[in-house]
Amino acid sequence: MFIWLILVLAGAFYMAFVLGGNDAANAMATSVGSKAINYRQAVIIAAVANLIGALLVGGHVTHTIGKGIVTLEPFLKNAKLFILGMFASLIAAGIWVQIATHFGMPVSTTHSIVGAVMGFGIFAGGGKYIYWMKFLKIVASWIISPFLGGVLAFLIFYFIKKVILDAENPILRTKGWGPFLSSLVFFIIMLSVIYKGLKLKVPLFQSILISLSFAFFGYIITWSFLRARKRRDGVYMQVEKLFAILQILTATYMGFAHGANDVANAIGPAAGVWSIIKGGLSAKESAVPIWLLGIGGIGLAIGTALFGYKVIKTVGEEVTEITPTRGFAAEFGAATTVLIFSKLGLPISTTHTVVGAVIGIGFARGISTLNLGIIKNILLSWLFTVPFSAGYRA
Amino acid sequence: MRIPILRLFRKSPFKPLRVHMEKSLETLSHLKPMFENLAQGNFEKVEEIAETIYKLEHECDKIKDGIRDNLPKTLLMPFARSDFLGLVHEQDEIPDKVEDIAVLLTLKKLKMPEELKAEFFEFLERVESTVEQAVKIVQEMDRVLESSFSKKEIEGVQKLIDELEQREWKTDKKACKVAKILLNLENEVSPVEIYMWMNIIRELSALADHAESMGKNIRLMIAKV
Repeated sequence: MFIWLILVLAGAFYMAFVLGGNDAANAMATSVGSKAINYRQAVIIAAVANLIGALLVGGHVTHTIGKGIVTLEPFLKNAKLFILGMFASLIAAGIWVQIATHFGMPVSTTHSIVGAVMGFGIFAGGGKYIYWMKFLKIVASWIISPFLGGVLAFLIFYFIKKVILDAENPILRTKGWGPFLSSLVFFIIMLSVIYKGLKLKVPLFQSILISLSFAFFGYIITWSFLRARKRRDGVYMQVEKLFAILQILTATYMGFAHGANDVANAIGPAAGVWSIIKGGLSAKESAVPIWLLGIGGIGLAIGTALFGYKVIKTVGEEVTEITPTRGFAAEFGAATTVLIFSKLGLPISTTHTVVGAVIGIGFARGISTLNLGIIKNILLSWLFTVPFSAGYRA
Repeated sequence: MRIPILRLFRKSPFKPLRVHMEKSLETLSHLKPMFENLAQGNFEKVEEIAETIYKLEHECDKIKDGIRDNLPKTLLMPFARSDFLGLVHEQDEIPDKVEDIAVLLTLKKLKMPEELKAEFFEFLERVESTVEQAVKIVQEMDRVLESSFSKKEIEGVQKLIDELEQREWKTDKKACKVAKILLNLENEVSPVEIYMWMNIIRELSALADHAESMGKNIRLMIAKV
């Protein structure tokens, strides 16, 4: 039994590794593309924020993938089948992502792992082992998340345009509103961590109070950073340079949200296995052990540090049509969406959400050219991923 | 290494448009020396400049094709694709017209009547200033895009377009004046030469017209969605 656990953990660690190496680049794309941070800084931010996000908020989605899709009860007497199945799910998802990536389809690791776990459930016991309601919720979240990312990004960018870019003195306005925008990020991150997070049972009202004070702290810090900046470029250039400072924050936010959601793709199956091994029906309700989240988070961080830098560097060189104001709004929209779904325990694709958010900016007339052809690819990948991973697994 | 998000981003078509614009301006800059050499009866030099213009016009065409090839219908742009393509088309008419004029000047060893000189060069200057205004507007589009179409920047560009229309109107008036002088020389200048000069005047006017059309396209591009 112990050997099997090690095997699944190794598989999980490997998956986290691959995720950190590849998906982190999509999360960091608008930061390195806007030149707000260089690729080295992006790697550090992504690795650290991924780990923290995974540790603090990663439990919800992990719980879903490990124990929320396939019922654990039937496997309590046959743990070996479950362990084998989860291990195979990891492998199947990994292979599908490799194949699809090779053909240039924007396939999501999230969709693949959910599909693979589904396939295992169906293989083991037909439809009756699957929590169909949960599965439908997950599928709905895949469709909603890019839209929500787009809408949020659109609104934030519209706000930036109205209060800053349209104003008589955009630079002054940036220095005035910038700290407010950043305090919003501080507030949401803090709230997500303490409210219904960790093992602290902090009531909503108190959570909000604590988060507000944290936000105020963020406001002061940002204000002092922005205040000092004086440059001689054109007006909009200066606004962008100020937003480049703010974008360091949203890049961290993005990494945090990414870690919170995607760590589950790697360690979700392992979390299920761990519950089975510990045994008992109560296992289904128990929290995901923090050391497991730690393994996933460290895997993500190492993957990003060792392999991610190359991908992030490429993205930074290729993506040039985005500026810090646009990047800030896109990341804010995408990260908030990913974080909301993470709290709801729904595994979504960070990449698709980022794509949705960037398109939202496009609709606000913020970017000169976007290729909407990618939407067709995303739809195709939705159609194919779950059946394929499920089928391959079976 | 394939990264899905890279497929989303496209290079802005304004960069190649700017390259095209600079080449077009370079083509235009050869027009004045060409007429000066013609006035001095320096036909060899005229031929030589015409060759340079042909080459530049061809380069402009290639840039234009590149812009069109990279604008699939699936693009999301902050303005209608058709308005942008219209702008590309009108801008490409600048080197085209310059080339047409160069051809006219090499068909026959034309003499520039003394009486025409002063007014004609003034006319030429007005044509140039109209095109230069159009170019300035395209350059200002950077600020419109940077500000994500802020009201202030849009109004700024609209003013520049008004000025462009003014200049085009003045160019037209000058064209009439030059044509009148030319037609009054009917006894001194041969009908063939008058015919040739009328064509030159018409082509130069067309040059200013296309510059004005560039402004019209930009007006549509920056209009409210």
